[in-house]
Amino acid sequence: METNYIFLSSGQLLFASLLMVVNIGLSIVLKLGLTKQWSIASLRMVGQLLMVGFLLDWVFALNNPIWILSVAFFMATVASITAVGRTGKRFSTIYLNSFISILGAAFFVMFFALSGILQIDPWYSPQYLFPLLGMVLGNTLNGISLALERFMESLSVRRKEVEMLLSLGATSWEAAHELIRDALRTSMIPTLNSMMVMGIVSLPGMMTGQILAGVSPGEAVRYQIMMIFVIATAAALGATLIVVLAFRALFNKRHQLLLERLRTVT
Amino acid sequence: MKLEKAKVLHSTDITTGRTSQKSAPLLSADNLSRQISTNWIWKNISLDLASGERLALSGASGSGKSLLLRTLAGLDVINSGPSGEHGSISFAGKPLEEWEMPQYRSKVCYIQQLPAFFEESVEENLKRIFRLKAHQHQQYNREKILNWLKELALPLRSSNSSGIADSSGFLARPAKELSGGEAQIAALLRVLQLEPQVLLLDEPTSSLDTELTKLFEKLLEKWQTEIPQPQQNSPNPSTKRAWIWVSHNPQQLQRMCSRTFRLDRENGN
Repeated sequence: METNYIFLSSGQLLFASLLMVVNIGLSIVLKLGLTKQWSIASLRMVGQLLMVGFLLDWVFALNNPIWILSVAFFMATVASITAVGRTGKRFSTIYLNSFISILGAAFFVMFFALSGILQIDPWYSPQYLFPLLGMVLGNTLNGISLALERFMESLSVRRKEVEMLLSLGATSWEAAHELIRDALRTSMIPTLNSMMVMGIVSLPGMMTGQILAGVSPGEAVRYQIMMIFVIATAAALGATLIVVLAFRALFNKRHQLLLERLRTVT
Repeated sequence: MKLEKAKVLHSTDITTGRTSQKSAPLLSADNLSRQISTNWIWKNISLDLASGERLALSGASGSGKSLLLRTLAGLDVINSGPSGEHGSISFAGKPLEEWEMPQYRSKVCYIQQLPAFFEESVEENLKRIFRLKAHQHQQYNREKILNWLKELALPLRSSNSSGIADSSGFLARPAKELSGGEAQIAALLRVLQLEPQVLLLDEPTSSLDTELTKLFEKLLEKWQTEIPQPQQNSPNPSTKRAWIWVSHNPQQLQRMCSRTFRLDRENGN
């Protein structure tokens, strides 16, 4: 690959971090009370990214499918925990269900992209696998947490509606169908909206990164187009899986709504 | 035995919730208990509802009347009793576990005290129920609903253009805008059109004025004494309609019921 881009030295990074003086200064002057958070967030961000860079360099060098898959599983695990972390209500198997949904959705689209579209050899080539997986997990996480939060919230708020349908002979699926649809629509609308204005309002990060690295814009958008299809499907699949799993956790085979299984997180 | 808390006021059998009739009960609950966190709301309750019977369910606030109706409607899981005994419910001679729950609930219908509706007209709300698999053998019948509405309409109310008296106008109104009393009427019609065999009524007239309550009672009385048309999957064509009625109004229970089952927390624990 051409290397007609500027390597960033540690000194340059330090220089970049000076920008945080603006944020911290605003916090002090306007008494926003965010001084400590900005500092911690900056340090965490730098530390986490340097560590990831180091780890990925290591995994890239090893080029061993077992290690690559282990790191991929670890990333999926963190994504599934984060997705649950944003919800206000939980049930006992929620983490497992979130993990299954993320893994199912990510596995499907990654397989499709790596073996189907890109036809990478070997399929685990970290140069392709990790950037793709990172974007897939980030978007699936968003889709899952939106769908999950909406579904559990509307089950509590619209409980009477659901139980009215149940008490008149609806199956649990018939009674929850409207809420499931509503949760899925809610989770899919952000992806749809961003697709609608893609390239006009937003220049996606992956594309800008490639352009910075010297790829021509005409080529970079091709990767971006593929990527948008991949992450849109991953988010939709992940949301559908988690809502179906949550539905199965919160209703039993006797078509009873088990809201007592939902605990509110404070 | 804890069964003693069931006091039967109108019939001769004073000790239990069982009817003194010999024939098999239509709906029968055995040894039901309900616990919420560490409190027993009720323990080891047994009660029978005979075909054609009108049973009143009374008890102080917090004695768990609604919980008992919900349990009988199959909406709540049946708890095990204090010593681990299993409670059971059976309907038309078949234990609840052997019923497909939607089938059971389309025959034993629970009416919420504050009924829920979808954001659409009253008529759409009534029609929507027939899209459920359990009711696909039946069809929405506008005539029937209009006739019921006519029976509920007072001559006094005809000046009010969108009240109950204007039957088709009532059906066209957005269900979410109904007053509490109108909503209770719409909820009753929504259930009656399904031809259930047992009604579990939870304070069904709590938001109705006295006049409308009388008409509501008359309508239900007429419905209850009607002989239902034989249905394809009716368990027993000779079954007469029955209800369990929860009310805080003792006069209403006297009027509408022939026997009372008392749930009393004080005696129970």
